[in-house]
Amino acid sequence: MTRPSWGMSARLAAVRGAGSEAAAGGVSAPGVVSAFIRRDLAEGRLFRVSVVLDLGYGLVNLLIFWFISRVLHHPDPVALDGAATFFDFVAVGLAFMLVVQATCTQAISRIQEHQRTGTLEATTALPVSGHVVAVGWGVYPMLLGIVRSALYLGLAQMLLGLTVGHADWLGVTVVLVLGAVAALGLGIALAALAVGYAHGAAAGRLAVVGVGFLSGTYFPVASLPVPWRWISAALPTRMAIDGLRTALTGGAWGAIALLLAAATAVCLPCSTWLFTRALARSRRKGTLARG
Amino acid sequence: MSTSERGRPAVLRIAGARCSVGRHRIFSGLDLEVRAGERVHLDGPNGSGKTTVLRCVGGTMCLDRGRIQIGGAPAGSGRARALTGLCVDPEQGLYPRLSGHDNLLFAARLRMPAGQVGDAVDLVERELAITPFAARPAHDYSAGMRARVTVARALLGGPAVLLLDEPTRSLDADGRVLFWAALDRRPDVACLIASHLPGDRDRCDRSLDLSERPR
Repeated sequence: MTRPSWGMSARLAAVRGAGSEAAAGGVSAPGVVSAFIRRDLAEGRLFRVSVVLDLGYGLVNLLIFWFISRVLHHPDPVALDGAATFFDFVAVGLAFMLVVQATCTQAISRIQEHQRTGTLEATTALPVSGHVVAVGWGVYPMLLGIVRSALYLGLAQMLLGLTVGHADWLGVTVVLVLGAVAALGLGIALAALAVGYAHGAAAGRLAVVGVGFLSGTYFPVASLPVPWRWISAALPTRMAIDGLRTALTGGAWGAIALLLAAATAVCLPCSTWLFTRALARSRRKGTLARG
Repeated sequence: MSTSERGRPAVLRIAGARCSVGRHRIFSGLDLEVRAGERVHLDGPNGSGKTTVLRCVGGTMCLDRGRIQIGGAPAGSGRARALTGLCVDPEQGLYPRLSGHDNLLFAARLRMPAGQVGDAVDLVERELAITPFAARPAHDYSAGMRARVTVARALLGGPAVLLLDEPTRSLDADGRVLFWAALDRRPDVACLIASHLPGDRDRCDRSLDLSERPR
């Protein structure tokens, strides 16, 4: 076996100072988030096949709605928020729901897996703020969600004829990124539910379905009963989907983006606070590791 | 405890500690002081609360009475966690799809400035002879290989207090030699080591039997 060289006392003394530096101030928040992204990138390298399969799943999903749109001839573009066809309408919702799924469903699954393997406990034993851990845990799925969403919009345009002739691409980009950050907040809140409560993961998955339903992904929100429309209007995911549809049809997206930014500025800190409370609850209950 | 250790300050203080999970009392009335450089062996049968004590000191579980301080800071606070290296359930707690090296890099990046990460990881890999298998995914490791990596992770960042839960139970003879040599190279570190192995108890300065504690 390999024996270590024993001239390492000096190196040990050199790195020993690191503990005291961490005690004095710790690693910066961007440094921590970057560490999480690099961790997830390293894990992702081994899973290229699942990414390809995931792309296939998304394409089939788009194809289903493309065929549905061929038998639905809605004459009133106003009812479809300015979209020319039902496919134009639903493809945008589907593409954004990929971000929501990535940040929410994956966040719930991953946090559960990390509870089972003990890696959540190992991470929370390190000198890092719970707020930063929350963001770090979700940021890579969020970035992946943005890429997938953009890719699917591109494929929908190239292969299935999504109308983008009047699109304002700056608006699409701004709204997609803001919407993804808003979805990150939602994902963190649902991950908090999964960490803090034994059945939180199931409740979280149900919440994702509810968000898709109320955000106008598959049908215009105007079809919903009035009280549900009020809930829908308060959802950042609804704002993001509306903003994307507006920007893709060349409409004025600035006001929606501002509203989305304001909603995100409120929701994200609330979500990370919820996550820290969930960690504290798990510490009290002894459930940080559920293996 | 050696004469030189007696003059050192207590870096870990546990006073009147009680921990329960639901209605089940894990331990109570626990008082303990561990000085810098001192090794304390936690003994007791399965279920006596050894791992829970380590978790409470490491800040991943909470007391319902009493207090724990590490370097004067409450257990679980940022400063206390910076001073502590925790290894519970040494065959678990790794990202299975990451290599051992990447597992160590991740923990190091959360502990120390970027400029020190590479050296710190390299050092612990060499100390515990992880280098030959460091690039392989952790799900391919044997229990002993995983234990080496989780122990190495606890050593990262030069913690003042090491909390080790049965660190040697999966290690082969060479691994045990390397493990104790790594601790010997850190004479200022206070260690709390839970173990059922007599060999581990013999390497500690004193032993605390949790089965003798009131519940």
